[in-house]
Amino acid sequence: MKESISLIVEGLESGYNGTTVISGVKLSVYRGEIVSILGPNGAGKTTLLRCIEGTLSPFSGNIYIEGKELHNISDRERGKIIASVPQIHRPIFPFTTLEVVIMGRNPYLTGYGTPSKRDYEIAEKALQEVGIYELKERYYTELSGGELQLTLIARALAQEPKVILFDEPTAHLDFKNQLKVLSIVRRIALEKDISILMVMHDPNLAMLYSDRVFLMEKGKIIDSGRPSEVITPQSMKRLYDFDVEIVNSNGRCFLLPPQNL
Amino acid sequence: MKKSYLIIVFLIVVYILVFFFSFTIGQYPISFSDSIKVLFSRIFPIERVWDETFDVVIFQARLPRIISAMLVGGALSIGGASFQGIFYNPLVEPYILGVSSGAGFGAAIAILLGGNFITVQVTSFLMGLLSMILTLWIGSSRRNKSTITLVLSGFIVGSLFSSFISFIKFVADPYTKLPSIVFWLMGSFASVSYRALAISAPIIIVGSLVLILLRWKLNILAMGDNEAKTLGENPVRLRLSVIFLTTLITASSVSISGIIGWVGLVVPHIARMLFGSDHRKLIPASLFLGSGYLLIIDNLSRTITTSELPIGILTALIGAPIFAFLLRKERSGWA
Repeated sequence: MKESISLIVEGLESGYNGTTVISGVKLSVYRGEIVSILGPNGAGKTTLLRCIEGTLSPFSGNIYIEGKELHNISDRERGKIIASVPQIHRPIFPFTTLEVVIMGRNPYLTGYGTPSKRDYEIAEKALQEVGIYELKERYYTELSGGELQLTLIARALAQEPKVILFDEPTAHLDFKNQLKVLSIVRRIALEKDISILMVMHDPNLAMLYSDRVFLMEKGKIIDSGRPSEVITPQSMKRLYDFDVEIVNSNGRCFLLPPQNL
Repeated sequence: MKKSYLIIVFLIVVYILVFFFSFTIGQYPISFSDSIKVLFSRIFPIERVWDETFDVVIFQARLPRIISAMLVGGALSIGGASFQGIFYNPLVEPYILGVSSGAGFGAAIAILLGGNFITVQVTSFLMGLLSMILTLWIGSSRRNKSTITLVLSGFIVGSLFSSFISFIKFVADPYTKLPSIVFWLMGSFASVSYRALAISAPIIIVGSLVLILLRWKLNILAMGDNEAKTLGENPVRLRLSVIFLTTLITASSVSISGIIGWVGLVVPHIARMLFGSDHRKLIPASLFLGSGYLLIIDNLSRTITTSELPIGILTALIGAPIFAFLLRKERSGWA
């Protein structure tokens, strides 16, 4: 298997207003690995992601990234090792695409500092890596859903993180953009050795683009492993209450819904 | 790139012309060239061929007024731009969020009780802060935190403090206190003095400078709290600092010139159209444009009618239609 572990979560318990949503969550993600979390609505996938990205405090448990305990580091330090691509981003002010991406350099700026020439080079490189360099002067309020998603990915890359979290990276995207975004995600993991943890809703896409899959139900991880081992008719029945058929085509598996739907 | 440099050069030239032209406006006629001579006579050895009165008019009446208009215009505009950034809401500014009315109430109490300028300054800051806290508290109690919720909370708090102010007017002595409270509340630079400026100006200048230093952070905050956090920022602490600074400079402005609304909405909007949304440009641009804007408005208030028009009337006359325009234009995106 892979050499080193990038992200470790142990005995994590969290929720909102004192109500427990997830408990006893334990997982690890290797460097450069793509891990998808599958589960029905309300299983606690987003809650788990929010604990790791730092926008929600755990009730108990530990999160380690690259050997550092998350609880003990500052927002700035965390911003250098974890980036997050939100599920919904509603643009308010017409910033240009480059202005949005350069914000990814914030964790590296100290005091009242503003981005340097080097920061701009990193931001422009990030735009190139996701293939939207030519949009850099455009207002991001005028971008399409796919372009906006790529902008937010470029911003995450500009943070030069070890781990990127995605909350449903393909929500609101058409078929072409879904595949485009996931291909870019895969390239990032492969070329930059960044670990990817993403919440997915489509088991087929999770199957195609993940190294490993975690199944979540009622706030707990119930199974994990390689996609073809974990995504089975039995587990899908348990998570989504549907009988599915798994079809193998030249070694690639995908799910079909029941015929009498 | 080239285009925005041209705009900047153009604006600076206009600004300088407006600045010197402002010295010629008023009941006592002084020509453009004379006013410049009088001004520069303090720095350069220019032969003094003019009447003594010229010096008094320029240095005692017009200069403090011009400085005040520039300071207050800059403060209200930078406050508006900062509030819009930290609440990620282009419809807010200190006046709309009720801060100006709160500060006005604080100042009116101090005037009623015969306080000196420092008391006015302190009570107006404390009441401005109180009104801001109230607005935020009312706005946050609803689960649905839309753009309009905060504006409505500000409206409620503004109305509350306006009625307190009316009560003060009701009990104020109609011959001694009332006229000064009423005229001052409508917004005016007519009665500014160097003594008042000596206290308010440093507060406004330092507060604005710190906001300029924070300009990059305002970009991060404008992404929303969750994203600011994942970008390595503590949004709560940052927002509180900006609220504190903005309330401080707003209260200082109110204690110089009374309640002047809408400037913080109009000017950042114009600045955004000219220079874009990036607060690194928007914040200094708002400061610069705002000081020029209020100077022009004050000049108008001195010339439109024979007696002097309260400046708050003019700013509302321009601000309200722009607010309506913004609300209609962006209607689909928010709420």
